[in-house]
This record gives sequence, C-alpha cells and structure tokens, in this order.
Amino acid sequence: MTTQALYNKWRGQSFADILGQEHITTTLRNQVRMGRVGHAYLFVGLRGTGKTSTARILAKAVNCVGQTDDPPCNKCHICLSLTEGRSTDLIEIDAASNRGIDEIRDLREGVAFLPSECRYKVYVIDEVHMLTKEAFNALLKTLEEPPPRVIFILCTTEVQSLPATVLSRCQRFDFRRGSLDTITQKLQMICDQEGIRITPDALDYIARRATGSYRDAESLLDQLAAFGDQEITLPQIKAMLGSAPTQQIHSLVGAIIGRDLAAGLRTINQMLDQGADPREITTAVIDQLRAVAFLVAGTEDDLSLAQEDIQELREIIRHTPSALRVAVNAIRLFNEAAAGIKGAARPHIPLELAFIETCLGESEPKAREQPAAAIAPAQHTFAAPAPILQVKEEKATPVLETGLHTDIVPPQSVAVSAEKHDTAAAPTAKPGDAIGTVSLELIQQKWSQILVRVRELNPQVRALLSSARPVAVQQNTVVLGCQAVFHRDKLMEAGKRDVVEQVLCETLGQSLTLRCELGQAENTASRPQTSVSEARTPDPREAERQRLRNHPAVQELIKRGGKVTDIRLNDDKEGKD
Amino acid sequence: MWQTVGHDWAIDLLNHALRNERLAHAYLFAGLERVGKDTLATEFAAALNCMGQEPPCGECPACRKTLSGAHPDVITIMPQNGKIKIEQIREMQRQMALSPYEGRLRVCLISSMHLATTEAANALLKSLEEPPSRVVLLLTAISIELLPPTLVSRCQVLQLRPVAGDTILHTLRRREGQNQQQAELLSRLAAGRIGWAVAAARDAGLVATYHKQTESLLQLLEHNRGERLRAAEGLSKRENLREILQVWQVWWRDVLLVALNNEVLVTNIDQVETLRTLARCYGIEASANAYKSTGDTLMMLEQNVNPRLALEGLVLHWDTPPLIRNLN
Repeated sequence: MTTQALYNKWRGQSFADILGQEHITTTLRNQVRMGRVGHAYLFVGLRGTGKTSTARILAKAVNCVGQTDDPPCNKCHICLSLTEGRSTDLIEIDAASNRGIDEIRDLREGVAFLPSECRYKVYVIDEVHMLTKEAFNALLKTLEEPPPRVIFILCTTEVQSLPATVLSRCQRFDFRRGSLDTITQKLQMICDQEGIRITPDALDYIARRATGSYRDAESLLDQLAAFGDQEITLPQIKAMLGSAPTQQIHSLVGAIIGRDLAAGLRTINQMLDQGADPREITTAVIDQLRAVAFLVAGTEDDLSLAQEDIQELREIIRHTPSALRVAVNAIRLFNEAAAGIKGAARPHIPLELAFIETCLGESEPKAREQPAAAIAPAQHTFAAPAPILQVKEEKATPVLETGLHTDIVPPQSVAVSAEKHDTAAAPTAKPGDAIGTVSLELIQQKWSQILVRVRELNPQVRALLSSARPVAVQQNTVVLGCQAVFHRDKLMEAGKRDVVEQVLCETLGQSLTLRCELGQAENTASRPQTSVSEARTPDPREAERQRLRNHPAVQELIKRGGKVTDIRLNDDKEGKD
Repeated sequence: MWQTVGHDWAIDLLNHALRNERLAHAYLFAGLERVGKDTLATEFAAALNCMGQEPPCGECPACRKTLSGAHPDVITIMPQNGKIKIEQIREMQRQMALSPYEGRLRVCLISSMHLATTEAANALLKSLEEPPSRVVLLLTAISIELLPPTLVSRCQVLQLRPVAGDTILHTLRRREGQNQQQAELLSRLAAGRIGWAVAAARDAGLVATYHKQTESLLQLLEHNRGERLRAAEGLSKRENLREILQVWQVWWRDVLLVALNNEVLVTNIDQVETLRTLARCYGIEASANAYKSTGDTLMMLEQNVNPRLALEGLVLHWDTPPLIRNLN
C-alpha cells in the first residue's frame, strides 16, 4: 500500500545515472574496464549525493557477466540478483546499528569464505563513522589485506570522525554537492517518467531548496506528488513549506533598509499570522538582502532573479545611500537569528529581535560625522559598542531640553558612554599636545600595532591594556585612560610599565614615559565636585543627580553649548536647578 | 473527520496521500511543543488503518483502538526518562519485521524523536531508508535542526507552524465554550500552541502561573540592586527558569510594541495599562534592549552557563522606573 519512495525507485542503476559526479564515475569505470579494482574504497559526501547508489553500481560492475563494454549491463542474472538484493555476495552493513566490535568480528569470519556466485564479494558499510573505536581497530587488518575477491566500500557523511589508519587504507572519493542544473535535470527526468505535472518555476524552486542533496529534492517532490494528478504549482509548494509571499518579504526588506521599526514588526506578524514559517521568512530575507548587496555592487546578473524582483529592490534602496552597510549588518544578524530559531519555544522571537537590532544597531552615516569619526581606524576597535551610543546621544538632546527623565538610560550604557567620551574628547586635546613628532593622533593610529607588539612581549600587559586607551600626550608623557583602579595600578607597576614604554619607544622612535589615569580623570572640573558632594550629602538621590550631571553624554552636550536647567528624578516632584 | 485544529495544508496533503495511495514510508511531523504534532500523527496512524469511508472516521474499531492506544499494529515509542534509547529502537525494529495482525499496515509512532540519543537516531537510519513493506514510520520532533540531517532527509517532513491566533480563538469559543475576552487572551498567550491554549482553557492554573511569572518581573523592577541579586539567586534555582524568562521576554516585547504604538500585536492584552506606563518610562530603545538581553540570557542558559550569574547580569541591567511604585 505504501509506494516506494521516489529516491529509492529512481536510484541510479548504472554509472551514467549518477549525475554530477563524473570525476568519480569515470575513474571507477576505467578501473573496472582495466581490471584494476582496489580492495577498499571510501565514499565521502553530503547526504543524498549518490554514495550508496555508486557503491551498489560498483558492486554490480565488478561482477557483471553481460556482454558489454561498460558494465554493469543490468541484464545479466548477476546484475539482476544484485539489483533485487537477492545475492548473498553483496553484503550491506548499516554501521550505525552494527557498530560494536562483535559485529566486526562476525564480519571478519565471513570474509574468509569465497563468494558464492559472483566474482567478488562486496561489503558496503554505510554510515561507517558510527563504528566504535574498537570496531575500527578490529577492521584495520582486514581492510589492509583482505582475502582476494573481497572489496570493501565504506560510505560516510562525516569523514572527520574516521581514524587516519582507516583513511590511509582506502581509495577515497569525494562526492560533490549536486548543482542546480543536475538536480533539475534529475527531477525533470523523474517527473516525465512518473507522469507528475509540475510548472518549471516550481521545479526550479524545489531544486534550489535542496541545497545540493538529490535525496532532499526527491523527497520534496515525492511529498508533492501525493497531490496526484493535479499540476504542482509554485504557490502550492510555498503554502506547504510556509514560505512568505515575495511581496511581504520585500516590504520587510524595505523596513530594514529604511529602519522602520513599527512597519517591520507589523509585516513580520502579518506573515506569521498567515501561516508563514519564521525560518522560511529568515532565509528569504537573507536572500533578498544578499540581492541588495549584489545590486549595490552592480552584479545583479549573477543572481538569476526575476526582473520585477530586481526592480522592486532597486526602488527600495534608491533613497538610501547606506543600503549596503545596513544590508550587510542585517545579513549577519539574520544569520544569527536563523541559528537561534532552532528549537526555540517561540521561533518568531529571534526573527523579531534580529530585525529590531538591525534598526537600532547602526545609525546613518551622518551620525558618525561626530568628532569621534576623525579618529584613526585603530580607535574604532575600542569603540565597538559605539553605534548604540550614537543613537543615544541624538536622543539625549530632546530629553534634556524637555526636562524629562534623564535617568532612563540603562546603567550599561553609561559605561559605554564613558568609554566613548574619552575618544570623543581626544581630538580636542590634540593640537597643543603634539611634542616633536609624536602626537596623540599618531599614537592612536599606531595603537593596534603597539598592542600586537606588547602581546608578543607580555600577554598579561596586553590584557591590561585592552581596557585602556591613550587619551593625551603631555611633553614626553603618554597618558593612558584606564577604566578601573585595578588596571591603572597594575599597569603602573614597574615590570609592566617598562614593557609598554619599551614598545612605545620602538614603535615611535622616541623615548616616552607612561602615566595611567582613570577613565574620566582628565575631566578635572567634575572630579572635586563629585567628591565634595558625595562627602557632604550621603543622600542617594542627590548622588544620583550628581551622577547624571557628570554623565559623559550630558557633559558632551554642555561642551557643545547645552545647559542643564533641571534634573528631575522620576520620583521627586520639586526638581533642582 | 480530522479532529486536529489548524495545519490545514498538512491534513490536505495527508488526505491526498491516502486517497491517491501515495503513502511514503516515513513521515516526520516537526513543530513547537504543544502545537498539535502528536495529535496529528496519532490521527494519521488511525487513518492508515481506518475502515470507514473518510479516514480517520474516529468510529470504526481500528480508529477507536488506535486513538486509545490499544491497536496491536500501532507501536508507540515514547521517551523514557527524557531519552529515546537504542534498545527501544531495536525492540521496535524487531516488531516492525512482523507482518500486521489485523490492520493493513504496521505503524511505528516515535514521539519526541529529538530526545533520541545519537546511537538511537543512527540505528533508525537504515529502517527509515528501506523499511520492511507494509510499515509506515511516523516521527515527531520539536525541530528538524535537532535531528541528524541524514535522518531528516529520509522522511517526508511536515513542518507544522504555529496555529493562527484566530483559529485558536475560534476553537476556544466553539469547543471549549470560553467567552470572547478569555479566549482572546488565551489565544495570544498560546503563541500558536493550540495544545497549550486548550489545556489553559480547562485548567485555570496555567494562566495563574503565567500571571505570577509576569508579576515576579514587575516586583523585580521595583527592587534595588541588593534585593535584585537576592531575587536572582532564588529564581536561578527554579526548575522552570527558562519558562520564566520566556514569559519575561514576551513581556518586554509587549512593552516595546506599545512604545512603538503597535498595541494590536500585544500578547498580554489584559495588562495594557501597565504596559503603557512601562513603555512611557522606558521608551523604545531601553525596552528593545531589555527584550534583547532577555533573549540573550535564554541563549546563554542553553549553552550551560551558570544560571545565577546569567540571571544577575540580566536583572542588574534594568533600571527601576519609579512610576511603577505609584502604579501599585
């Protein structure tokens, strides 16, 4: 009552049927023809690329008694009995269920007997990577020098789990991923033979989804064939697989490029409500973003996309000069989401998060044109979390002016801001500090180089330096801003300080001394004030106000002409000038 | 008549396969916990041996036996102590080799295949590729990514998706006799898991637990750091920590949605007022960050980090919006 699966029914029966693996079939054919067949083969490759089929064909080819130049003939009694699985001389072992040493011992006993009707006795060991270590070792001797007339064919998807001693005893053949063309070809052949009617775009879609595995493609076709005599169409496949309509994917891509949080979330939830699969949405979005990247690069011809799709994407990216950067960032985040969806209890959440993060993550280039942007590239490695902050700085302005709750910035962003503050302050300190040839800018430029050199000399010092950065040059002294007292004190210890000074000297060609300060140390105005107010008023709320006043973002705004008119903690009503 | 709710495309496909006699030898039903995959698989098992006109009729002896778990030709494998072991698979393979007693087909139903050990999954590979004739294997798993690809590619995969909110709402109204408001809330809390929604409709305790978990988040926000650390320590020892974090995550998602003026999508519709207040306090960015950091913490727990440390890192990041105090 069950029908044979298409992939079993249409298993290749001769070397010519194995598509896309000509590098293997040609070699094997020649070996058979010239009578130079090896005694142990190892077939390696992705699932569904033809390993087991090739193994069976090889077994037939070496034993075929038909009158043909290109065995197997598939007509002689030997070929037929092997195809039907009647022959006792083709032994297929599923190593996954017979993985122990005892099974291998049984196998070794059997090896000693001559083949009953065929020329060769062929052992096909499938999923061979599942054998235990002992089983492998028990097999080694037999594999190296099997009795005459025995051929071993080992098949596996995970060659890295095989011991080297096995690998070196076999002729190894690597099966390639099926190409789109060959998979389509095979599917077309099956459809013709089976009388399955299918539209070309649907066939193409199945082949694409298989990502190189013939069996995946055939399984999917099999599933669709259940619909019987109806013609299989693309929308039907998409409904079955839960793919979202291209139109909605495009509007989501539009929301990503245009950073429209509300619209994007609405689109995502619409798609989900209509029964789309979150992982299908994620892969579709990645594909389209990739297309965006290709479009920007002007190589959209390589994509084999429909013309209207390209038109649509062009429209989306037309007004966004930063489309490429946004797209690349989004691809990365959605890729991570695709991994996160696996087994998630609410699979739409990683998808939504990736989208939100794309929107919040990096801001437009104009936001980058702040003083920080002038700093040398090496500096950016410190300011890794900076993009988040830039959004914050933009927002900080209205918050202050309207006198709203300034304390809603979460604590972790304070740390980020502090870091940022240093880098932002750095260029302003630059002009007066340049002594001789060494300027702060130069040190910052060479900072990554310096770090590499320090690591060579003393990795521990390098680790301490990762939370420090040069903030000023005063005469012959380089001032490093550290984040914590611990780092500052450790760096100032003689042995460690010497290392840094030595490297500074090597890199900059000038002897310099090192001084370490706490991160906000150069902000001299705020320091005494803080300590005084802390000493005088133990009131936590007062301290909190003080903290806000000294908040680097606030300080930065003051520097640019802002003024603190009112700091209001959310739970007090009187306010304070 | 199929009793499974939602998944119309899957039922359509299975119906066609039955009618056209194009059955595969192995099916894999993948989908979220309580989304209805075991229900669907059991019904399909009944349909395979059903004697009625429209399988599964649910009335013929074969259907009744299958649905009550008493059919001699339906072999069911369930995880034992949270694992499917190789012995269970071997035993199943032995029984599989026998021909059916009374039905047309032998059906092997393996529930929660994702809990199978690597050995068990591998032992099944050969049976899946070329099972004895007159045997159909039905597998269920919460995600195909948790299974070896070699196993997945040997099955017809039916990837069950979350059931649409409206369908759940409708079912709760019609079958469970819930009032509109309650049905609406449950359908949202269920997030596509129809099984959960139906269970929650029958057992008020589930929703109460849910509310307790959101409540714990609100309390936490009121606490100062010391109290939060203490609370985190307590929470980290809870068995259902992951579940709690998922509830929190949904809560932060709601805060963000309200902040974005997208109240239609909110899950906790019974708490819109509180959500609005929080959205005003936190704004878009802070709520988005909280949403994200909760997700990150969940991910860390998957990777076996120390739950207490992960949780502490999470709860210390949230600011206390003093407005909550006024609210309660």
